[in-house]
Amino acid sequence: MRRRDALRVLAGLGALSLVPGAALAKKADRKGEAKSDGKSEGKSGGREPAKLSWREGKQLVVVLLQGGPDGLSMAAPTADPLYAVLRPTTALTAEAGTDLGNGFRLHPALTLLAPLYARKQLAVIPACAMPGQGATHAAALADFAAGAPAAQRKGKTGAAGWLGRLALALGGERSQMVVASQSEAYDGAPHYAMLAPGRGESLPGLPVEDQTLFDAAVKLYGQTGGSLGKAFAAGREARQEQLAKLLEESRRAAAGAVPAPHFAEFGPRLGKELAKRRDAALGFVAVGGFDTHSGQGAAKGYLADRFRDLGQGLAGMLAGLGPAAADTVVVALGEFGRTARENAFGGTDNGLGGVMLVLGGPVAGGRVVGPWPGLAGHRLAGGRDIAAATDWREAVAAIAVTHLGLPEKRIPDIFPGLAPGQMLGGLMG
Amino acid sequence: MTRTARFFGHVAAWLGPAGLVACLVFAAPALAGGTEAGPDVVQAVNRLTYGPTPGLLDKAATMGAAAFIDAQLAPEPQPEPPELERALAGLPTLQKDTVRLFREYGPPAEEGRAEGPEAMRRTFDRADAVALEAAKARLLRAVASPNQLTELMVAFWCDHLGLGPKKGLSHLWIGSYEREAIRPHALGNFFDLLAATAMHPAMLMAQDNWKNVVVREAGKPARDSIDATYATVLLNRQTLGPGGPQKPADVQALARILTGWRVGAARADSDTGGFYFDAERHDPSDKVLLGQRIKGTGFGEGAAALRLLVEHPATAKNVSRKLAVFFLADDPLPALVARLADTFQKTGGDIRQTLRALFTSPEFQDDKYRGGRVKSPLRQVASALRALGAFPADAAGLVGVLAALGQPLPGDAAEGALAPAAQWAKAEALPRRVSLAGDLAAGRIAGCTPPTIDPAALAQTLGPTLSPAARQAAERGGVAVILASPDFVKY
Repeated sequence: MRRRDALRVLAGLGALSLVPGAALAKKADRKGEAKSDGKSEGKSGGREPAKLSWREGKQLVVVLLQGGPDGLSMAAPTADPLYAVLRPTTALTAEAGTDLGNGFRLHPALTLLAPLYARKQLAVIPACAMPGQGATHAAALADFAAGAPAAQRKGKTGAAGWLGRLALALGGERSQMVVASQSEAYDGAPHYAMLAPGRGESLPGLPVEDQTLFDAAVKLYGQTGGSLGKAFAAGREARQEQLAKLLEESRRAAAGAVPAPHFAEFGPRLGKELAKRRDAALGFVAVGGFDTHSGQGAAKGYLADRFRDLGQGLAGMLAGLGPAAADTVVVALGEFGRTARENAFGGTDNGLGGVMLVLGGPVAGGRVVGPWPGLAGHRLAGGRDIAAATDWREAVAAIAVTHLGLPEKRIPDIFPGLAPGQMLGGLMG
Repeated sequence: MTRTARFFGHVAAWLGPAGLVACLVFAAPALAGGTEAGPDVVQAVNRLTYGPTPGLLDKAATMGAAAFIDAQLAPEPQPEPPELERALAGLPTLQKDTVRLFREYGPPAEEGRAEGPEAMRRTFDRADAVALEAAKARLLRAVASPNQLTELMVAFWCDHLGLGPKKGLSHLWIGSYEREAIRPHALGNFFDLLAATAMHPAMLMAQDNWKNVVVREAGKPARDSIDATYATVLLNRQTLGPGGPQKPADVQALARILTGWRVGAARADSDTGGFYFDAERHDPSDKVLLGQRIKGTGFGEGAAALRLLVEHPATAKNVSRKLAVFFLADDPLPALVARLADTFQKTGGDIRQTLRALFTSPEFQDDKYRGGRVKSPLRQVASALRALGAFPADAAGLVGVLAALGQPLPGDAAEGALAPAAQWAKAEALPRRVSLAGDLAAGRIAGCTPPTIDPAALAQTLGPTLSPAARQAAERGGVAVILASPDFVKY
């Protein structure tokens, strides 16, 4: 609870000193040292202020896309013959967006990221998930933060967050981190500075079904439906209850994260901040609004708008980083993906495999990385979800070792259950 | 073919006799003017097709209900519109027979099998792709073929003589089963139809008759390995039906008669069927089926047994009843079923004559049967596209819609055409049709952008089945309201 108290103080502080970047950086830094996790208290006094860049300024920024974005929309497998079958109203066409090769297309609303792909600074990993992870938001977020599914962390003690453990492994007391959202992922980090995103545009609610059409149908089935009238009324009621539940879940799923519409403007700010703080090896921000149980849309619609926000935020973050982007790797991923088949409300439900985006100068991008399991029923996990073909932890392990210089034998300390050497090949140059 | 040759091909198709007929048919409503479609015409069109297209009710009214029924029963198929031909030509596996499908899409040869489960999954991937093309073809034809009664009968037989759930690679052949065994006999003779399905590798695999053998090994006595799965289905479902005179001994006898019916490697290039009668695996003894002695004559026993079954009154009744349910009502009058069964028996299982008896019966035009059915999802989707005058550029999204509505097309183990009306009137299913209507009208379904039409034009197409209330509501809410209305869900 101490950490949370500290965060509240810091969040308030960050919001007060919005624009003057240098001042904010110093303040947050100082506060971060003084108020962050108990372990570092008392020792921070002996540490020199950030006069030396930490490991030559190499950074890893984790962007958690909270709610679980739909991988089949973000990087659409339009060449798979079953794609349109599973997605009657949410599929992208084979002409939409940007060709990623390998039969995938980048969603047209992410067009700001297309130049990065062309410059080979963006890699796309489809069918990405942690095998055995939870299927509800709360469980999946806990598994993400822990860097291991619940079944594998039983009986383990110590720091709960994988980012916290990574910070420790990278440099013990000297490592630094900039965070902009609360998460247990960085629990246990020796130091972190909280950058408050401030108040911005909030999320619009998920679109619901066509009210005019349903009103007309309710009336007609009441008047002329005969025996169908009763069945329709019952079905309508059940449908509305189910929809209300899903919308409530979506609202909860975005809690604690920066709303996507606000991330569009916050991304550049975060980038500038990271550029100034090259002593911070790690960054973390959660962006909310990707839990799309209804009215998801295809090339246009609710999810397309969130992708546009995300693209602006990510591209803006790299722009804000400026020359420092050459030494920064940004990963964006959800706590899980979504079902292969769309649901009765033109949306998708919580599923396993999603997409991971890896951006930045050091990335060997311009490619779709990792295998694609396919959409046939016998290929889906549990017959409904995209199978976990690539474990996101192997991608992070590759970045931590080749980019941040983490000794390879430390990988199991960060991700329990992952062996040294279990790294995603070909992701980094 | 050169581009020029292809061009002349198209022109010839348009100007040739077939093309001329098509032009005249399409022009007919315009010439006819405003002949009002009476209830008999509406009933004939609604039951013999997947639903009216723009001008179809007017055309049928001009012809008269009797002539419209005759035209649909005519043995000569009407030429398919060019857009349908082009769309079907774009589905390459439709041109391949059972043997070629197996060679090109089946499991790899022996050395490939060593790769293990992943090689098997790849084989299933290919079979899925083949089955998807079959599903697309079924849907496209339901929407756009002028031979609507044939299409309905193909759906009917694919259910009545269905392959059941996916089994092994049997779904690789779902399309070729429809093309080779069902389609040529859909309006023909029931014996030919039954024989074609019994010998098709898809059925042999799906119902395990390929495993139904007598094993002979050198120096050992012959060992029975009778698998009665297919014999059971053949008696209890496809011919005599539930409540027929068959006894367990008849099932066993029929299974013995069908021993040695196997799937074989093609022996020559001309061999396209994949069926093989293996005399070495056949039980040569005489059998007794339904009290009749079937002499042990090898392959000929099967033909004799099928003939016996087709001629049995129980079969006539079972098939006639199912036809009456499919085309008229869940509980058709026993007197009507008896008359149809009589025709079926007298004509030696002539499907066309049996249907004619049904369509020209007074019951068929009885008021109480009008608008009393609930559309199956396939009929819902096909009728909506037909009414809008839409033809999908890609049917994949619509195949997905059907699965979501509870009637997956072949490849996903369908069992839809013969379902009773109540199956489709479930509470959760109806609101889904409303949202589908909205998606369809707004062009949100992948691969399917309907032409923009106003509600009045759609109301005109659908004629008197549409209530004034629905017409009125559509004036404010657009065509989606009509497609979502109970009037459109019923037929």
